Amino acid sequence: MPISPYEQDLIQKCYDGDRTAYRELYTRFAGELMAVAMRYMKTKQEAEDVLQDAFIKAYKNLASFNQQSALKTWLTRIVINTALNALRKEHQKYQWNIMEAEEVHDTTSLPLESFHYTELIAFIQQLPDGCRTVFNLYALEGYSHKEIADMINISMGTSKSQYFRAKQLLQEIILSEDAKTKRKAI
Amino acid sequence: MNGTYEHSWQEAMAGATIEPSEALWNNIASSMDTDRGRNYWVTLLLIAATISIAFAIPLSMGTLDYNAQPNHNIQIGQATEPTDQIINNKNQVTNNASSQSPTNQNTITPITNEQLAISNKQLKELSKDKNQVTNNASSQSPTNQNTLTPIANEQLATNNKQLNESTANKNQNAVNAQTIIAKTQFADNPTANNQILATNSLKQTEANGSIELSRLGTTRLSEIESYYFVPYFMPIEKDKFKGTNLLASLNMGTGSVSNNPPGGSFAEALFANDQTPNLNDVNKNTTERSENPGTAYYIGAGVEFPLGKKWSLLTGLGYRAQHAMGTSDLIFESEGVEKPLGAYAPIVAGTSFLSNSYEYSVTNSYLSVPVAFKYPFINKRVMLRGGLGVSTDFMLSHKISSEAYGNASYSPEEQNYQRLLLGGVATIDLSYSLNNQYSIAFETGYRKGLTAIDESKEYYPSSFTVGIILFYKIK
Repeated sequence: MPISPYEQDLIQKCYDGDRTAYRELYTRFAGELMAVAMRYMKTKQEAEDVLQDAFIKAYKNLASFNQQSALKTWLTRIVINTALNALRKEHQKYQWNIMEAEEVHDTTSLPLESFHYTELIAFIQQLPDGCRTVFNLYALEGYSHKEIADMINISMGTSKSQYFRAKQLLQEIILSEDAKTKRKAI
Repeated sequence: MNGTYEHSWQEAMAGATIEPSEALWNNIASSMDTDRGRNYWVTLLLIAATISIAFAIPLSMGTLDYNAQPNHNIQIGQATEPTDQIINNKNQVTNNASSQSPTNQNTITPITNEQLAISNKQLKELSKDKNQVTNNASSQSPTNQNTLTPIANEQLATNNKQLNESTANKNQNAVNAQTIIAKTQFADNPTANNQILATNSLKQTEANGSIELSRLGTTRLSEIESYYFVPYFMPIEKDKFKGTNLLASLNMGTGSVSNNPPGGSFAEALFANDQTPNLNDVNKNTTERSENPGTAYYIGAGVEFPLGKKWSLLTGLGYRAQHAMGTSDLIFESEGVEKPLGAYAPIVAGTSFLSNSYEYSVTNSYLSVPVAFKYPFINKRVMLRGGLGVSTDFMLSHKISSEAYGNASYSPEEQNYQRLLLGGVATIDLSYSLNNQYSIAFETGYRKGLTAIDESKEYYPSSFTVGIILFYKIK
C-alpha cells in the first residue's frame, strides 16, 4: 500500500527535523505500536522500553523508509525487531525453555470474541517467551515457520513445536478464563 | 498460509491500541536530543574528514628525497696536482676516447699519471681560454660501444685544436657561466659513432685522488626516500563493521628521509629529516647537492573483506604524488635541449655535471595498490589493530622544474628508475565507530622497500607514515 500524501508530508517534516511533526507521528501510531510491543513483552514497562527504542530508531532511519509500504507497517516492523532484540539480549539467542510440544489437533474453537483485546494480550503475555514470540510472529504477524526460524535463529521444527505449545497453553488459559466468566455470569 | 485459527486471532486483535504512559514521549524526545547532539559531533567529524581530504593535497607533509650518494666510483689513475688556473677557471677536461677500445664491456681503464700529465703550457692555454679539453678520437676505434680507454698525452696534444673547436660549440651549454665539468655520453649518439665522453675534471681528480669509471653507465645515483600518508590499512571495528567496507583515505602527517643503507632503519627514517648527502666521489668538492622534504599527498579508495572472525583483508587503489625541493648540479641533454635533473638522479646517457648548482623542484607520481592483512589486538569500541602487507607502487611520472633549465618530465625508463616498487608495510591503528556505517581510524605505519628504486638495487625506500581513514560499511 503506497503511503498517503499526509504521511508523506509528515515524514518529510520529520526528516527536516520538525519535532512537532514527529510528535504528531508518535501520537498517531503510538497506541497501535504499544499494543504490538505488549504482545511481545511481558510487562508494560518492557513494552514501553521497546516502543521508545523503536521510535528513536525510526527517527534516525527515516531516510531509509522507501515509502513503498505503509508507514504503520514499517513502524510495526521496527517495533517487532526491537522487541526481538530485547528478547535476544535477555535470553542469549533464544535459548528458552523450549519444550517439545506435540501437535494439537484440537478443533475446539476458542471464544476469542468473548474477550477484549487487552485481555487477549494479557493471555499472550502469560506464555513463555519462546512460545509467545513464535505465536506472535506466526499467528498475528503472518510469518511462516521458515521465516521465523531465520529471524530468531531457531530451527523450523522448534518454531512449529513452540507454536503448537503456545496454542495449547492459550487454549487452556482462554478456556479457563471463559469458564470463570461464565461462572460469574451465573 | 495461516488458517482459520490464526485469522480469528488477527481479527480479535485488529485495531488494538494501548496508550503508553505520558512520560514515554518525553523520554523519546530526550533521547532524540541526545542523539542529535551525537549526530552533531558525527557530522562535525565527517565534515572535518572531508575538509581533511580536500586539503590533504596541499597540507599533508611528505618528503621525496633522492638522497643516494652518486656512486660513480670513478677512478682514473692517480691524479696529478692540478694547477690553480684550472681550478679557478673551472675548466673541464673532456676525455672522449670511447672509440679506442678494442673491447666493448662498458669499462674505462685507468689513466696513468703520465697520461694525465698535461703540460703546464697546455693547461694554461686551456685555462685562459676557458675551453674544454676533449679527446675525441672516436673515429679511430674499430669497436666503439661504451668503452673508455687510456688517454695518451699524444692524443691529448694532437687533439687540442679539435678540442678548442669543439669547446666553442659546447659553450652554448654554459648557462650562467657554468662550466661543464664532466660529461657522459653513451651509445645513443650514432652520429658521433657511439662515443663515450668520459669526462674528468682536474678538480675532481684533486678531490679523490683516483677516479674509477668502471660503473659508469650502469650506476645509479638515486634513492627515493619518502614520507607520505598512505592509507594502506583501513581499520574496521568489531561486529558493527564486520562485513565488506568501502574505504576512503586521506593523507596527513609528517615524516623524514634518511640516507639509508638498503632497507633503511626506523630510527633513521624517523629522525633524519633534511640532509646533504655525503658525496664521496667525483662531486665531493664541487657543488652542493641536496633535496629537502616537500609536500606529498595520497588519495585512495579501497575495500575490506572479512576473513574469519578477526582477520580482514584490505586492498584498493590510490594516487600518490611526492614533491621535493632541491639543489642540483646535473642536467640532462637530449636533442640539443638541456633539462633539469634531480640532485640524485641516476646517471644516464646525456647527463652532464655543472660546476654551479641550481634550484629545482621535483614531483613523482604513483599509482598504489595496497594489499594487507589486519588483526585486532584490542577489540572493543575503540579498536587497536596491527597490520602486515605489501604495497605495489607504479610510477607514473617524474617531473622536475627549475628556473635555470625550465621544466622536464621523464618516464621512469628514461632515468633508469624502477617503474614498479614493492614495499612491505607494518602498521598499528586505532579506530572508532562513528555510527553503524561510518568509522574513523588513525594509523601509524612503517614502510620498508622490498624492491629497489634503482636498477643497481642499492636503494630501498623506507618511510614512516601517519594517516587518517574513513570507511563506510556496505554490507
